[in-house]
Amino acid sequence: MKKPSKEKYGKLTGEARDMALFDLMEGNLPEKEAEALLQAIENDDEFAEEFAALQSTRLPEEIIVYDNKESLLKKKSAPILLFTSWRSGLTIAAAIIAMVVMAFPLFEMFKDVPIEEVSSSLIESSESSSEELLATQTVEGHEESVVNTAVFGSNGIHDQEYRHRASYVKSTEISDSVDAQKGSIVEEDQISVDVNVPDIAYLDDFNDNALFTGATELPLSDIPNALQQPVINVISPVKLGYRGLRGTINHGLAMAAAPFRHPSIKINNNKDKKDPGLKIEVSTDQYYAVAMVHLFPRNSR
Amino acid sequence: MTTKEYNQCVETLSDGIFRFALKNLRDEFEAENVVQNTFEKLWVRIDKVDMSTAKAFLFKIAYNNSIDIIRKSKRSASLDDVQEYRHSHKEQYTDAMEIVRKAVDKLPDAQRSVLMLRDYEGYDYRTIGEITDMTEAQVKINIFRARQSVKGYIKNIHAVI
Repeated sequence: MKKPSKEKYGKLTGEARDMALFDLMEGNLPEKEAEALLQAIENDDEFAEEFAALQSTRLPEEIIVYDNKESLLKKKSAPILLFTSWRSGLTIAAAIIAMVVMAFPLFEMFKDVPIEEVSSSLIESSESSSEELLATQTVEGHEESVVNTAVFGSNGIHDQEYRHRASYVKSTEISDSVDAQKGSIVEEDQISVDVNVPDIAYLDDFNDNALFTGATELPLSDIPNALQQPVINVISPVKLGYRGLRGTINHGLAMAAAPFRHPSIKINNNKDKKDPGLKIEVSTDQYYAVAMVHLFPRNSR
Repeated sequence: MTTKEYNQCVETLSDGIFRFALKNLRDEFEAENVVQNTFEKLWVRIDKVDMSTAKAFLFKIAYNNSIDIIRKSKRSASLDDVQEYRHSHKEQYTDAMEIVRKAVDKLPDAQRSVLMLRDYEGYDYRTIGEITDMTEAQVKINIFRARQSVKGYIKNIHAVI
C-alpha cells in the first residue's frame, strides 16, 4: 500500500478535506494516514484552524440529573410476569384458562356460573384481594406466573393506576359487547375443555411500541404515551378451549383496553371455516388493534 | 437481569436517558415520560434483557419513543420552544458550552440524536445504527453533517462577536 503523504492531504479541498479532518477526529483513519494528516495540519495554518474548529464540535460533557429515580426503582423481586411474553390481554385469558386446566380451584367457581357473572366475580375478587400468585408453569424454558393482575401494581408505584384500570374493568361497554356474542359463542358450544398452552405463540416479536404492552403496566402518567403508539395489528394464534371463554376474554379485554379512554370493543365470531374464531377489535378514535382468537371446534382434538 | 441489576440501570443510566430525551424533545414533561416509559419497558422485559445490552436497549426505546413524540407533535426546532431545564445541572454553562448547546438544538432530529449518542455515550457507529435503525454509513454521514453544522454555527457566532 502506498504510504500516504502529507502532500496528499495538502491538496484536498472542500468537503473531501472536511471529511478527512472528520475521519481523523473520529478515529476512522489508519495510523499511518492519521500521522500524515496530522503532519499536513502542522504545516498548514488554515488546515489547523479548520481542525481546531471541528474539534470544538465535540459535545462538552453536560451532566443532567434525573431527579425522579426513586419512582423507577423496584423494591421487590422482579415478578415473572406473564406479560413479559404474553403481551396481549387475550393471553391473560389464555393463562387463566391454563390455570383452570391445571384444576385450579377457580375452575369450580367458573364451572356452573353464568359466564357474565364469572367475569364480574373474577374482577371483584381481583379488586378486593391483595397481590396473589395464582399459578406458575415452565414453558420453553421460561417460568411464567399468573398474578392477580388487578392489584399487581400494589408492589410497585402504580396503585392509583390500577384503581383507574379497575373502573374500566367494570365498563358495561365491554360486557355488552361480549354479551352480544352470546348466541354465536355459547350456544354453538364450539369450545372444548382442551387447551394446549404450549401452542400459545409468544408475542415476543412485536416491537416495543406494541399496543398491548401499554395495557399491562403503564403508569397513569404514561397513558398519553400509550395513546400515541402506532397502530399495531395483533394476530394472536392463541388457541383457547374453555366453556368459560366469554368471561376470561372479557377480563382479558378489560385489561387490554384499560389504558385507552373510552375504547370501543367489538367481538365478532368469524365463521369463515378456514379461519374460525373470534375477531376482537379494540379501538379509540385514534387507535385500532385487532386480535384473532382461534377456538378448537368441537371434537377436533 | 435481576431486580438489583435493574435498579443499577436506573441509578447509572436514567440521567443519560433523561438527558437524551430532554435534548431531543426540549420538553421536560415529555422527557420524563420517555424515561418512565423506557424503564417500564425494561422492567416488563427484565427476564429477556441482559445487563450487558441493557444500555443500548434503553437508548433504543428512548430514541423510538422520542421520535414518535416528535413526529406526532411536529415539533419545530425553534429555539423559542426551548424550556429552561428545572432538573439539576452539576455544572455551570460556559459561554462556549452554551453556544454548542444552541447549535445542537438547531440540528435536525436524526443528526442531533446520533451526535449525542456518539459524544455523550461514546457509542460506535454500528451500535448507534442499531439504536436508530440506520446503516453505519448513514450514521457516519449524519454525524459528519451534524459536526459541520455545529462548526458553521460556532463560526458565525464568533464572527458576530
